[in-house]
Amino acid sequence: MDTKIKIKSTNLNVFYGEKQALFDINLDINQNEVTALIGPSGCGKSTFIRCINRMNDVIDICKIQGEIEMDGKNIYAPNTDVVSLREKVGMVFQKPNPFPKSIYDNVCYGPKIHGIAETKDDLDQIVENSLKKAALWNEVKDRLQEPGTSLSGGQQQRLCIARAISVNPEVILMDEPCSALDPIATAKIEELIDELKTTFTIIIVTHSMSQAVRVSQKTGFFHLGKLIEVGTTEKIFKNPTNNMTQDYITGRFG
Amino acid sequence: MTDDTHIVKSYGEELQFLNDSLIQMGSLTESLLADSMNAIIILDKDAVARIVESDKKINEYRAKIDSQIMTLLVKRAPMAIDLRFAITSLRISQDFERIGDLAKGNAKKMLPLPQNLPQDLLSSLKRLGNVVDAQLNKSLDAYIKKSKDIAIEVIRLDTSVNEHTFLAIKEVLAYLSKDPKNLEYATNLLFVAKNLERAGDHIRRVAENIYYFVEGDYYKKS
Repeated sequence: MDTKIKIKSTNLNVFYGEKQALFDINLDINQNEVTALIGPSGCGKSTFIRCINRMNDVIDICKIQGEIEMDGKNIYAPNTDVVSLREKVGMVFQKPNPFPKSIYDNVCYGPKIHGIAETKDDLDQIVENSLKKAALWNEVKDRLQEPGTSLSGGQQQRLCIARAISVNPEVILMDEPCSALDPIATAKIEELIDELKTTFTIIIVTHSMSQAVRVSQKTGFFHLGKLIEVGTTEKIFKNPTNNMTQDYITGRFG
Repeated sequence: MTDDTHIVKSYGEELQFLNDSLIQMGSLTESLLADSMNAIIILDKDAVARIVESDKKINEYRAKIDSQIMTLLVKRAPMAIDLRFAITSLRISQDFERIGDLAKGNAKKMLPLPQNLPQDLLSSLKRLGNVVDAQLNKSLDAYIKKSKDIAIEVIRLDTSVNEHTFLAIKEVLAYLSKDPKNLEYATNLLFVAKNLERAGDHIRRVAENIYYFVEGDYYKKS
């Protein structure tokens, strides 16, 4: 199957005030694949994914140079509709952060504000589909009106995934989605990621090497704001080209 | 590995320990092969018991190394060069064990042989044994130095082993054709030659694994 580039970052530089956080990032993200970004804390992985849905816009001192194209269009072009961009690019965070609302309302919030659903039936259908895709439906279908926060950590994270996919995004950004979860919940999310990639393009930031190996097809290693090496996950973890990559993934980084 | 700078010191130590175990196992295999070859040449039948004991030690090393590698995989989930090290060490220890078995088998083949075998016959086997010994020695050198170039030399020595096997077999067949009564002895000597050739194949595989460890890719004949 031919791989299509969904997102293309070209010479991306990001500054927080005087401090440069990313240096000339050139990275292609393939459609319907999972791309893992690894690297030590503060290396720019999260900054990078936050550029893809323009979350960094809300930080006043943040300045961005270069281009990120999605489907061939520069998302930093002046006429870009940021709201519609964020509809296309969903995000899941490190800690599950359901709204203090019912399970149902958590999932239907996005479709409501984006005007995706016209009737209550439509909304019901979206909630059900999203929860099914997030592999949570069976566990919550009889308690949809209970608060989202009443769920376990792993369930809350799947609720956040359901919330992210309820607006039919094309891309899902995941910033360490399993770091607060136990191994069983992690395994469920990882299996889910594998299923979701048939519909979405996924970028996951992770500190777990074995998770990157399990879930991704492509891996990029960041260090001090630079993309040191990118390649197929198999190549990166079996035989990386760059010594820094090898030192990092084998635990030799001093 | 040898130039270890793991953040977790005990991880580095575990890799080093595995490395050392494999070198010890390899050295023991080398001694066993030389001992067995020497016993055949001088028809030292008393050596067999000692050789059988040495082979047991080699088997114990194999079990120990297996266990070390399993623990390493479970505890450390090694990646990249460390992963290749664990996997190739596992394979190399299997090959050393097989070489030990073949050397032991050869020693046993000597038991029924008469003391008055012709020197020419034994010399051709001795030359073959020397080539295989040298090949094993070089493979250990390649392992200790983690040298791709030495590994390639070892792989190339396989041709020489095959040639010497051919010559040794020819010599044994000539001995056989002289007198049909030689059949039993000749058969045993054919086994010795064949086992040495097979030991050479295992040594070649050791070298191919060293190459894979260093390069992260399989050796391809150029």
